Amino acid sequence: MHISDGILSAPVLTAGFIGTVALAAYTLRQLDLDDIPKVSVITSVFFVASLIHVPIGPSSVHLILGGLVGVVLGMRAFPAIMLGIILQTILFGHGGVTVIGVNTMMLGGGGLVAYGVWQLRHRFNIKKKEMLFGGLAGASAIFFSGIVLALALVTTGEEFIATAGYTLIAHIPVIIIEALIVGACAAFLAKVKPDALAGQLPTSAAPAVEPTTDSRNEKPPR
Amino acid sequence: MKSYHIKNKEIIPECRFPKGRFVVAITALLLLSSPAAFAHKLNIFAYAEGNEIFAEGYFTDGKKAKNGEVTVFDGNGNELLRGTTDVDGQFTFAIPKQSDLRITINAGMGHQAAFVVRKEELSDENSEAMINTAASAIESAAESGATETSTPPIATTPASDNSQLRSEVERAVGKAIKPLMRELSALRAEKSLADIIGGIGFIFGLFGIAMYFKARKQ
Repeated sequence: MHISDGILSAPVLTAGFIGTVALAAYTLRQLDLDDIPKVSVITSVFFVASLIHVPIGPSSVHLILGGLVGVVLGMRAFPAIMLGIILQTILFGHGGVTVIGVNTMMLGGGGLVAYGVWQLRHRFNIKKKEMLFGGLAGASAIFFSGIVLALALVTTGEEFIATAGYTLIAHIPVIIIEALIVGACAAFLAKVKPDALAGQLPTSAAPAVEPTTDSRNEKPPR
Repeated sequence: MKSYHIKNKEIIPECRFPKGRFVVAITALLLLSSPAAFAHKLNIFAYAEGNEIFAEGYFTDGKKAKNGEVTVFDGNGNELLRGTTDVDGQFTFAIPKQSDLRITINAGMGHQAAFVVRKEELSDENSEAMINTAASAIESAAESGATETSTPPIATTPASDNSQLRSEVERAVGKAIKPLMRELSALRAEKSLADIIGGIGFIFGLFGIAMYFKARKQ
């Protein structure tokens, strides 16, 4: 899900770059020194994920994993995805140099949406909510990216409903697979290393707010 | 194991490495599960064959770009013609103009690729035309000579045979080269493991630099 060179008009491309720079500047301010190793590893995962193909569907689609980046990195997903896209463009020829802005808005925006969905889990008190909301986050990232892709293509004169419908249908296999991957990763991390996930409640407050019915009851209060 | 984990945490509250190891494992898994690297990218390759141009669009994973919208531009960016690829992602058209031809294919969902066929590659037709005129010139010369010196008309037949043979050979060579051309363009589009490793190296390097500057500030 990358837009190629030579499709979008100059105003759309410029808007993409402006939006990307603004969002990257905002989200990069939240990057702490301690986060950098985590961000770089997740960026690598995102970078490589686009090489994995899902050979189902009318068109050929590949994994995106924007949702995983959002769930693990939170707001820092945006700069991570931006770097990933820049390198995918340069090294793999995905998309194009002029479209880096729009592609980053599309996929990085998906990462931020995934983070938003992921955060909703705090409002629910059910078992396995990490798996459920991780899966939802993974699916919503691609859903959002598909909508943005269709919106970008509308500016070239394609019809929105048809394009959006076609894009989303083509990505149904990826949506399902990514929902499973992100859900499984989130559930695993929640059990093994909860503070690896983004948007966990502050650890001091965590035992008080988080019910001990879920898998986290082994976590000692700090 | 559990107690050790807890103890470890208490000693180093900022310990972040177990999860790092997990993610490295994912990365390794992802790397291993892609046997060869298949970048998902639309490609097009085209070449002149006689007075036709043959264009083919395909994704790097081997899928053909069927029903792709093909647009042909000349060297100055004027649109010459449009068409749609067939089930095999192929589109053939007569050379519309003797100039550099930029052929773009749009396979929907933001996939577009372009290929330029140079004017020199189109020169087949020109040279053929030249041969034809040359042949006819020889022919007419021979004919006019025949009236003068009564040369037997046998000389004319090799000339016309020659041009026929030439176009025949061209077609045969074109056909023989076709798979090679396809292989070559596929090879050019393929991404090697070096690109992947290099990209990951870039990421770690850039974040390393970022970390250095952050650490210096503190």
